[in-house]
Amino acid sequence: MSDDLLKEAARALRESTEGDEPDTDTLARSRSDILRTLHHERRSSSIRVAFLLPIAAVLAGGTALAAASGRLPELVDRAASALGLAVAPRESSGPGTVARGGARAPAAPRVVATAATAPEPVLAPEPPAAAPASPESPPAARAAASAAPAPAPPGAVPTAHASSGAPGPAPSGSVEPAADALYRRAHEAHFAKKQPAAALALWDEYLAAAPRGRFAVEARYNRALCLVRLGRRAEARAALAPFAEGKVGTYRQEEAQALLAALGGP
Amino acid sequence: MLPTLVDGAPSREEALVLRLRRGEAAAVAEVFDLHGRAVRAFARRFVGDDAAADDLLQEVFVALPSVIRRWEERSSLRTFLIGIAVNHARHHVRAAARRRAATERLAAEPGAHGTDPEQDARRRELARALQRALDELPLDQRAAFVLCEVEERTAAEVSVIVGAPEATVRTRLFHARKRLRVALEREGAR
Repeated sequence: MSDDLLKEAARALRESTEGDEPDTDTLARSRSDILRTLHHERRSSSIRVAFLLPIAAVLAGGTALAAASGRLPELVDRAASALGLAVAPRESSGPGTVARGGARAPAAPRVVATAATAPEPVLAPEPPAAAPASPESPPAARAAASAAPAPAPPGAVPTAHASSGAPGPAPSGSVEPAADALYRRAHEAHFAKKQPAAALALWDEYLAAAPRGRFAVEARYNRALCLVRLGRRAEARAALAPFAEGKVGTYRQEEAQALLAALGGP
Repeated sequence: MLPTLVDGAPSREEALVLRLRRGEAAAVAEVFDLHGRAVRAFARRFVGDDAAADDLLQEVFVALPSVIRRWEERSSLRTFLIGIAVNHARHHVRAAARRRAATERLAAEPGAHGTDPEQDARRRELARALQRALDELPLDQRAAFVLCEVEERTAAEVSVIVGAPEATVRTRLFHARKRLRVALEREGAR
């Protein structure tokens, strides 16, 4: 087979199709089919927009309202939980920090100024210190240290709320700033000063003041960590059990399970 | 030699493109009137089947209002339309190839034994053999061969149509020729 024959074949194909052009009627039919299809597509698109636009507007409005009322994270968590999606747990240390497993760390609270109270500054920066296990710590305590939430960055502002199953937010008012101040002190004792006994007392104090507060779930988990570090194994197990069993959603579930395994049986 | 791709006053084409981008159906109709015949001719050569060529023609113009928004106007509108045809041709080529294979099996390809003079009949048979051989090529090589050899476009022009570098087009053409020679030899041996 020479190139000439291939060229001849190409020429033959070209010439054979040159005479095969569709007649005007065929082209006109194609043309009207195209225009009809385009018209139909445009109408379908308009109908889609007519239905989807109001839905999108309602969603956007609802989201904005939820964001304005501070309930957006909670609603997102609930929706994700209802859809069976894993929610990145909101931890108790500070926003913007990524804890083990890619979880977003929770906030150290900022005291919100209201008309009834004097304006208060944003909380002082949390020192970047986790709760390391001491060399003589038992394995469970070391595990607790590794499971401890990451430290809060400077200027941490709480934005998170507990995942689904967590207690709801406390009613807004003067109770909230006071409870937030307690949370801040507990957090400092726990992560900055590394005083588990003092931190435990402060976590209890916070939970007594705001049992359904914004950070109640985080406080309960941190309290459990303090119990682990203090060697109060039975109490630690009881405190960790709800997390391990997923009673507060997926928040710290894996860590709690690991800690329970490290603590062993009664 | 085919007519040059850039035809019509540029201002008219630019105005048409603007109207296409605004989604005017009348603009699609105008583009069809200007270039529909050329696109149909290419489609016929490319897929080798009238029915598939008609389907491809419609697909090109139905897709036009959406794809025109991404067009960077680095070629003529007609070249752009041929490019759309190449991009949409895959399943039409397959469908046409299947039809050809079926009619071959039944030995009933229409017009296979017409009343043309002997020379015409030989050339028609040669064209059909090439079309069958084209069915065995990958789509990229098929596009390179049809555009370069059958439509006699330059490699530069083809590179714009298929969106590949010129060197790639030449490589595809080289491999297409090689495989077509083998296929035609086999056809000739039948």
